[in-house]
Amino acid sequence: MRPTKDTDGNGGDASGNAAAATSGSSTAKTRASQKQVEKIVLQYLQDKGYKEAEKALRSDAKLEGSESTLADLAGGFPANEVGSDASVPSWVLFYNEAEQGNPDAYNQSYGSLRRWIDSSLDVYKHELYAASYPVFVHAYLDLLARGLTEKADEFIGKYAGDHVVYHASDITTLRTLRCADHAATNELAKIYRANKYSVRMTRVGFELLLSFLQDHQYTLLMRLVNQHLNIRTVDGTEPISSEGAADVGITGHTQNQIDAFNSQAIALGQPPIDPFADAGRRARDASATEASQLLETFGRVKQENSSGGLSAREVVPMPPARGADVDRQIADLRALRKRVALGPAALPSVCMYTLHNTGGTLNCTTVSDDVSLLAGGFSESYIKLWSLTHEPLRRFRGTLHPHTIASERDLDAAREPTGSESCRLVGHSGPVFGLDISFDNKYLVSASEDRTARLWSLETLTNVVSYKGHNYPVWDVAFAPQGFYFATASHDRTARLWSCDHIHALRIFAGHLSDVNCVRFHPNSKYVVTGSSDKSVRLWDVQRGSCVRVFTGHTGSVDSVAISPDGRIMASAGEDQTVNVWDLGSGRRMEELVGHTGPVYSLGFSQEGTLLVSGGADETVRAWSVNRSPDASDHPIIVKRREAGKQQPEEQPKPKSEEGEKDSGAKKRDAAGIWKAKKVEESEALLATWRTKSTPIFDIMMTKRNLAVATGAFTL
Amino acid sequence: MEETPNKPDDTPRDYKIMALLLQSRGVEDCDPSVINLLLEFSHRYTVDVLQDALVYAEHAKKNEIDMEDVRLAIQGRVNYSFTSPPEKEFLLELAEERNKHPLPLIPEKYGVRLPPEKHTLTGVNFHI
Repeated sequence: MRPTKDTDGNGGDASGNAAAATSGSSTAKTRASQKQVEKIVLQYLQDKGYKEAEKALRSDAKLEGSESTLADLAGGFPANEVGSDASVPSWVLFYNEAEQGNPDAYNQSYGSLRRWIDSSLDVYKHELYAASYPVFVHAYLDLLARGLTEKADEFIGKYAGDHVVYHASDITTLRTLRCADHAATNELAKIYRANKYSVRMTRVGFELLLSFLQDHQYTLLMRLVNQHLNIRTVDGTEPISSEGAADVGITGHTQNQIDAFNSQAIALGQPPIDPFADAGRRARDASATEASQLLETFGRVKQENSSGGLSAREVVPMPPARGADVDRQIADLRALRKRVALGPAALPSVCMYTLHNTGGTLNCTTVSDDVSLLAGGFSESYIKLWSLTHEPLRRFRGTLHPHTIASERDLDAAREPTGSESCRLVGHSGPVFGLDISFDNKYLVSASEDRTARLWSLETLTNVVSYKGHNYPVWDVAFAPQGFYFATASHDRTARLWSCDHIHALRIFAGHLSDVNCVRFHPNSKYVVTGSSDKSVRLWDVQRGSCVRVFTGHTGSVDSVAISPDGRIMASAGEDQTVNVWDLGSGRRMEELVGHTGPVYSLGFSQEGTLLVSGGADETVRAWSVNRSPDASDHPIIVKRREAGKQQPEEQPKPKSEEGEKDSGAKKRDAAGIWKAKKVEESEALLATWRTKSTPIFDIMMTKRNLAVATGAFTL
Repeated sequence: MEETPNKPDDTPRDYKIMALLLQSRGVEDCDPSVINLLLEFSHRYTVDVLQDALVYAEHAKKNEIDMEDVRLAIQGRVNYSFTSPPEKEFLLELAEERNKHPLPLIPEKYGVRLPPEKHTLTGVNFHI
């Protein structure tokens, strides 16, 4: 920067600033002429309101009244970027006469960047396109912030086409911003402004981009790249498919590479079997032959678990095993022997429960592990419980006096004489969005819009505890597989871990950028998986409360997650209608399963972990084959595509409810997602599709015997 | 929202604008009463904000409402309506604070494991 003319104290102040700031600039030095500097100083004086000084400078320097073009841009200079006082130095830093006076600067420079990318080698095109997306977004936001709305419209109209494939929903949101205030207050715009967008490029590609920008003096773009992009270069010349890949985009981890982040050590093995609960020794009501068979199965299970299992130190503290746990172990062993082996040739049977007359008020459902209870959460703040066996649900009478109870028979007598098939649990003060039943059928936990999670005892059919901690609606809740702990996912972008005997949360899992939609426990209870509207899935360590894996790759919010029973594989699905299967250990995506034509609401793994069932808003249940390892798998995947579902879903007697209206108000269906009617190219792994009659599937689970149980609400 | 071609379109202009707004955000279909609800909400919100702005303008002894007054009115409301979840940094600090404590050990006790009775809903909350 050539030294400026010192007119008076104020002018000197400004030029002092300018000189100091530009001492480090490269491009501005060479191009800025003295005239430009004087214009800047004049503008500064005008801004500050120093009328005398301005007049003096104007007369001394004999400048023409060229404030109009500068005023346009100066007046609307985004103050949020570096602070209004520091705007002069940063302005000068990247001053380029050709660009600053010209409101079309963004259009032209971005346009030529695009043309250059188009003309570059195919090897680099992909990653350069990926890098140009954040530049596009920030250029658009800048245009808005300066008040140039028509230019912004032109800009987005011209260049949005390239990016629509991977970023359609973001672009639709950006289109709705019409002025600087919108750009400053909109959530998505704030996320883009506040976080650096990380992109992965090869070193060669990165150098090409930089040299292009420098050669052509596109200082506007360089400023955007400098301030808002975090480019990580990878050695080697192989092209990187960056879009939809692990570390691209804003995940909040700008320092660490996702690969390095995802290589934290985690222990995925099964917990050791409690010696007290050695079921083999306590097979009570079993005949001699059954006992020996159970012992044999138990021995086999123990052997499988001994390798790669957890040591006693790593296990999450749990209550000591009791009778219920032993019973469960025996039941599990029986189920193991009676389990149906599934594969492409042997598809699971699906038992579908359809709820009628819900009037759009049913939000969520859950079925107990032994398929004896079905619970539904409604918008009218109650939970309805149905008994799926012939055992009626009996509450306690109002005249119960605890001191008169001396035996189980007395307890039984204190209940209502005749129960009913269904009963209502009233307690929440807002719509119920999540439910889960514990493994021993003793407790039901529910999550609601009234910011609380409630624990209900299924033996007394009453509300026992109310857990407060979230300050926004709670979307989902899940019990730990061995009981005692449960986790909640909420709109306040956190998931929390609770234990049944503490009313305050034990752990807060914070890190998602948007509300957390679903949460599930890992089979060994040491980890929790959450899926969020920020399109990522995270794995959290329960004992430390830290995030150990981030899985990015979805192009829409994630509505459901499931972990295989052996704890190595995880599946996630959501608004983008694809199911992604991930390897937990490495953090990489194993498969992307395409086929659903609507958002997917629920997932379930078979007990061997080789088959995945999913259900969603497109009113179908689909079964997919999961390839367990990249090398040889046990069963070859047969390339056979079934069109319409050949097997009819079995329908049990439908549980009825008394509601009569037909409002469609369930939360999931109102989600502002884009329901693309995709031309269905289905994955090869899709084994079967079962269609229901106008019943979107809310929940699907696989029992221990590999029976799939699905629930849905009949919607006309 | 549908009209036959030969019938004159008598839906109000505001209704059409609201429908276009919804369409621009990707909503493909909705119940007609949704648009009515949205119109009512936007009317109520605008009226409330402008009334507050009028009060502020009068306080500043101005004759007309200014952009500043409207901004101030919106800011006054934003704290208790349209709240958004806390910032990520704040949540991370909170999480670090809470996650410092190790998971509590399970006490040796029999019976149902629940919080102390004063925190559960099992107590009798009336007195005769």
